[in-house]
Amino acid sequence: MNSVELRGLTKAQGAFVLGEMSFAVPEGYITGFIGPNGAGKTSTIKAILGLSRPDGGEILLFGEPLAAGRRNLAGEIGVVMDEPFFVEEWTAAQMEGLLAPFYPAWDGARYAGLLARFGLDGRKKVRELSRGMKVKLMLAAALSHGARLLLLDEPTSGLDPVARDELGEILREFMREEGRSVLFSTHIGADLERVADHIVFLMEGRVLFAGPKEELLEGYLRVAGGAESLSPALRAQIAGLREHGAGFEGLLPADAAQGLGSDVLIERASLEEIFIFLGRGRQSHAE
Amino acid sequence: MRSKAFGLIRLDFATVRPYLGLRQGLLYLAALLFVTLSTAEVGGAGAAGLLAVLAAINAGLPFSLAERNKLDALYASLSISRKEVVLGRYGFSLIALLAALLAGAAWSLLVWALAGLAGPAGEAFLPRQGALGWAAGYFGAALTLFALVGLVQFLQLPLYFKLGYTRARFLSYLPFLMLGLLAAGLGRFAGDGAFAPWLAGILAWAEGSAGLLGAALAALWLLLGAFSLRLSLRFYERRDL
Repeated sequence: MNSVELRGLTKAQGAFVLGEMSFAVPEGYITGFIGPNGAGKTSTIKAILGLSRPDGGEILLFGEPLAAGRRNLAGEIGVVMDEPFFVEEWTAAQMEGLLAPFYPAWDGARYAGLLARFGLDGRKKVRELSRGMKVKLMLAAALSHGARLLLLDEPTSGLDPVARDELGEILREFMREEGRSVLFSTHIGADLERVADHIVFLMEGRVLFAGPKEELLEGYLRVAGGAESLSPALRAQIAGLREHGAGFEGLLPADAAQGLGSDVLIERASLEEIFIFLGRGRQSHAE
Repeated sequence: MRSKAFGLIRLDFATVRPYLGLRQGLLYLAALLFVTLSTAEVGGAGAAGLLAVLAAINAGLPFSLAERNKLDALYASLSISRKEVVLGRYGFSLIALLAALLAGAAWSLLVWALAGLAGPAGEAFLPRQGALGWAAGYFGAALTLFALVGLVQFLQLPLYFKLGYTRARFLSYLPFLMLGLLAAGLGRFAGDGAFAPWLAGILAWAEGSAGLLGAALAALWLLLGAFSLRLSLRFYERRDL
């Protein structure tokens, strides 16, 4: 069962085009949605939330088409955007009275508990909170109504490493109950390295990879070596090749690594490196 | 559907309330005092007119604040459909206008009470036709204001839903301008000797068929309101937020 499924989604926004996007957010897993700024992550999440109208394709939420789905999804989806969507003059305490009537399963005790855990003063206005605290406030609201699916749009951008780590911890806790899933959009690979089970890799409005994280990590290797080791055949296979005074480095498909000499350093690539090298490779192809 | 639209009205009031604070209240009070003292009118229609216009201007406030605070994402996360947002926003505007007219009545009664305490100096502010006369006069004025300001809002709201607050802000003042120009044109038309008998004829006919005319105008008003709502629904349904 998939919590979210996109089938051939297309959307043109001026010069930017989301092209034939297909991927799924399987139930029971955290799916990392990664891509550089402007890759189309927010546009995709907005389409899933019904905030923008796709030109083509289909979006299914919990197996039902979004276009036809008029059922109340308020209890089932928790949303955290890159910027707060609450009135700046509201306080966290006041928000409970405003939001609770919309959620059939609102849990006031859990909301109060999360505010206390996050060190959020219920009397403070939204505008008085730091960026990290605003994200935590959105999280507290998203986690207090029994949501089965969390949609997180760049929640970690601008957060310090401690806050980012804490978010990972909260997501792991959220996933302890069965039937839950998360779509976690970010441009920071390290965030997903820790928590994601699946990865959707987006570049220039197109899905470059969608599948289990391990499959992506096993599919590529980081290679480096001296300038003399960079044969024309190797050069052609490396994605995001970076040449410098001491030699070269880049990303190589794992199946192309066999037969490389011992003068080439081969090591497991991190998600961040795959993201950077593939992104750069794509750009250099475009150039 | 209905309960979510009501929920949106509640959210709208919670959204605008922090921005209509003491400073705004004092400003409105000063404007009310100015209108009351400068016109020395006893029916309270001037004050009601001012409050109704302020209600119409403030009808843009939920749009402005929703845009500034990205509340469309909140509505989506609360599963409030676009149709419910439109219905709720029309409901908010209607309630705000009715509240303004009620506040106008309360203000008028307050002026009346204070004028009674002031003795001869306050005589100018006392209604000359008694309580019933005042009530009938105020109700007539309020009904006319409700219809006129309602018409302005029927034009404003689709603009907000089509373009968003920032792009529609200046266009949203156009209905006021059109109403002003219409009033000025009618005034000039009425003062023109050549047309005065013709106008007198129309007024005489209207007086004779007040019921029929009232029903026809009410039907036309409702029709325009329904058309405005339909336009707003269509515009907002198609907009990327």
